[in-house]
Amino acid sequence: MDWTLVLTQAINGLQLGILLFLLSAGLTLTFGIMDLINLAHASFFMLGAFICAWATLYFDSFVVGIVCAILGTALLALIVEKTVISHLYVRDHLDQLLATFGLILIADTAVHLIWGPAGLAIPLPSQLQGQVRFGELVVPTYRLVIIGVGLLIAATLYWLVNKTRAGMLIRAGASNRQMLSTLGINVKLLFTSVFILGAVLAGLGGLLIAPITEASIGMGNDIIITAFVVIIIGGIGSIKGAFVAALLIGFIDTFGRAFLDTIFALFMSVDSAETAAPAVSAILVYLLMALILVWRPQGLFPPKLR
Amino acid sequence: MSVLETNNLSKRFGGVVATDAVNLSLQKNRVHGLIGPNGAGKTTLIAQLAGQLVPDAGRVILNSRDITRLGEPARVRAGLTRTFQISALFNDFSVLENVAFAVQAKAGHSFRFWSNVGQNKKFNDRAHELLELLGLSNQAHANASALSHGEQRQLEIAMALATKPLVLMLDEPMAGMGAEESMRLIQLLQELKHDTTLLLVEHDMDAVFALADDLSVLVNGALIATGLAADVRQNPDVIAAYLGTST
Amino acid sequence: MNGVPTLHRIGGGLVLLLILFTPFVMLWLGKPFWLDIFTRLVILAIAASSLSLLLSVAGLASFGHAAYIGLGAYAVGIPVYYETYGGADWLASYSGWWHVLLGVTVCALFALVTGAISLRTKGVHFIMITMAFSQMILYLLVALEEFGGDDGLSVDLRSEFVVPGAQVLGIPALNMEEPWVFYLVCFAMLLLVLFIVAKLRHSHFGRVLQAAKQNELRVKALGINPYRYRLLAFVVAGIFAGLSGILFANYAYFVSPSMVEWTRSGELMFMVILGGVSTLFGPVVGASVFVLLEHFLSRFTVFWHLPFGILLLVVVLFGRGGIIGMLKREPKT
Ligand SMILES: Nc1ncnc2c1ncn2[C@@H]1O[C@H](COP(=O)(O)OP(=O)(O)O)[C@@H](O)[C@H]1O
Ligand SMILES: [Mg+2]
Repeated sequence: MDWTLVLTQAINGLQLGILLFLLSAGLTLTFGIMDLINLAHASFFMLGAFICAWATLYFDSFVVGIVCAILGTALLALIVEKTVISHLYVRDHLDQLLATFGLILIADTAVHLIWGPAGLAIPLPSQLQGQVRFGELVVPTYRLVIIGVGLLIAATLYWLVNKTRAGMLIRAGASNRQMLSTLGINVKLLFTSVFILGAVLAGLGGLLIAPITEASIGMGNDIIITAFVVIIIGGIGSIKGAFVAALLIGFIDTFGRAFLDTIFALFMSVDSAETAAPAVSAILVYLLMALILVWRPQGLFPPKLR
Repeated sequence: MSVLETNNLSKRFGGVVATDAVNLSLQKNRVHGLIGPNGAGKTTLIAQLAGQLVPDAGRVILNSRDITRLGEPARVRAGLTRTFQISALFNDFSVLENVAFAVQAKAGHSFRFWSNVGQNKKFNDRAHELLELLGLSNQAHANASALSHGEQRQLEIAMALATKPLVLMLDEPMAGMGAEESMRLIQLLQELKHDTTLLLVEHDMDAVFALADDLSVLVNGALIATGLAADVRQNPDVIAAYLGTST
Repeated sequence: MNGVPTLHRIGGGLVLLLILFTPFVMLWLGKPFWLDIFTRLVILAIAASSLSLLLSVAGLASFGHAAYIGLGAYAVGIPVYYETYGGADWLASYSGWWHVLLGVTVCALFALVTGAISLRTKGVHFIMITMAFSQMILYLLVALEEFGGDDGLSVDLRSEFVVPGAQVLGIPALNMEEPWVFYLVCFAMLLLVLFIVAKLRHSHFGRVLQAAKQNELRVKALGINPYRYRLLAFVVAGIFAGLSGILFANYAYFVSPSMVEWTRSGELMFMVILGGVSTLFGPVVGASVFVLLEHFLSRFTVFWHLPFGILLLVVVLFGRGGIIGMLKREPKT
């Protein structure tokens, strides 16, 4: 086997995993703490990308674009939380799902109204456009940036949740709402903050990937389901589970698409391998999910106190 | 003859020892009272006997058969039924439908797709009998959720009886009942004794002493005394730990 | 539970009559395109009714119902494709009987396997897992280059339902290419599905599902394990949704992976909720309102999803019980 190719694919898998983690971290946090399942997470992914694209073009600076996108998604998240989401905490999951599906329809149409039906590309600054060489391995600089930023955020989240007072509140919230309010903690404020944090993480995911794929309407609607698969596998509510499962899925999906035909060709004709491989690799992560669920219906790292 | 028996049954919730190596034995067609302060582990014990909770260690034996690994529905079909401390009813069903469904559950599998189960005469007749027995006849067509607290407790028992249990475990059946309702239930349980073995968890001591042939006392998950009711009442440990304060 | 339905049955009957005759009245008034809209309406009503067996009767919020529509549709698309362009002789056929056999088998198997896994979980797990499995079908269809991948397949001819011997007896074959014949076939299928769902709802089987929806703990304490009953309901609902998919492929002369997008499942769920979850005809009303609104709104603006999203929000936040629920709601005393 060609090891440079394997390494290149490993980096692609890592990048996909990181992206999935950014998206699923917010999902699993909001679920773990507020017992809220939020489809509109996909919309913040898209909005982060669009705001960043627009601001980058308008101010002619990627950095300003990023800042605008973070502030913009945070503000939108605040508005959405106050007007809609805060009414949903006490509702059942089906209501939450349908209402946030409504939000997706609204967000998709709003973006269409504002920026038109076509996508927006984000031009990268020249420093990020190059490639980095490691011996025979050539990696686009921007991919390394995505991976670096993602790992940095993962580490920050880990620190935030496990080492700070805010994180202690977050973990306490996951186990006991009443206890929090009897401690005199402002549960409303905590919920709003966590929702905004989750939305900003999703927005970051969107704006990071947009220079590669460009921002497009409904860009989050498919990947959100993959993020669901991540948190199902990881254990709904667990940050650690989300991280492990996101990387697992990133690698399996990427390697499946890249090498499954070669592997299949070992025990079937090249022709049938080339027909079968794409179909199997397309459903590989779902097969993995099914297997893990048969073995552990609550996922790999189910939070203990639920 | 011992009908239901536990061997060193143990269960912990984190730091709490809810069931501490319990050896309990219910004799055929007798009423076995189980008393103990709140949080002693009575409900947890019933849940393990019923198969709702899996014990950490120990065994449950029904009629000389080890049922520790048996699922909850299978235990009910084997003749071991429980009621809930907090009434667990079908709130969208009428009172009659609640009981008729319990009769249906006893009647065999429900993979029947065509006939209208609401008009099943066998189920409805039996359900009416049970409602009559529990004094709920005039409420048959009310929604279960519309019943008073005491009536819900009666319905709870009617449903359990519909499964024709060999062993019936009652978790605080009288809690929330009026005096008259309690009296009626005590009478009913007396009659049931002829063909049913009863485990009665109850805080109403008058009811326990009126009914129980045998008595066990649970404190902090452990049985501190078990035996003939008359003997256990005299047990100094029991008087000190429990009865002393209330009687 | 027994007194209320009579009024609903009359109302439901009226709704069905209205649906049945409106396109013909419109045809007579010189607006033939209504037949097309109503055909779609009836097909979606079938899918929504099948979902309501899960959602309303069994309380199982399956968010992957569109997968079955897609599987049913491809059970028409693939055999017709092979029959037209050659290949896979064992699969190729224009016969509607074959399409139904294939679609029903595939949907039943898919429901059996995914149901067996997802029914071991509850609540939000169940919702997400059903969603994920339907997404799996989406990606599978996209990956099948042979059948057009993303672009899908066009279906050149509608399924042929030839009854052996009927011709000899002088009974003409069903000409599904004739729009109003096709419409009547779809309508008959809707009646059949509604009839079966109504029967199931009041059967021994349905009572177990309803009981387990309200209090699973108690059902187990009465000696019934609801798992196998739920699994069967899951399979039956999958088959009915598959039938609507078979009709849909015939209706559109086209199948594509986009039929399986989760937003389609969301729309089906919306129809059921919109109509009201606790009645037999709720999903029919919901599907009707959905299709008609979509039709009128999309004539005004390409941005018709906006009012739709807002409506969805309003229904969920304020209109519990859906349209029928609102009509039924007695004034508080
Ligand atoms: N699901 C559970 N998780 C954690 N602790 C529990 C659980 N159920 C019961 N307990 C604890 O086990 C002990 C026994 O409870 P329980 O059986 O309800 O007592 P009783 O019925 O005698 O009042 C209590 O300390 C209770 O807090
Ligand atoms: Mg108790």
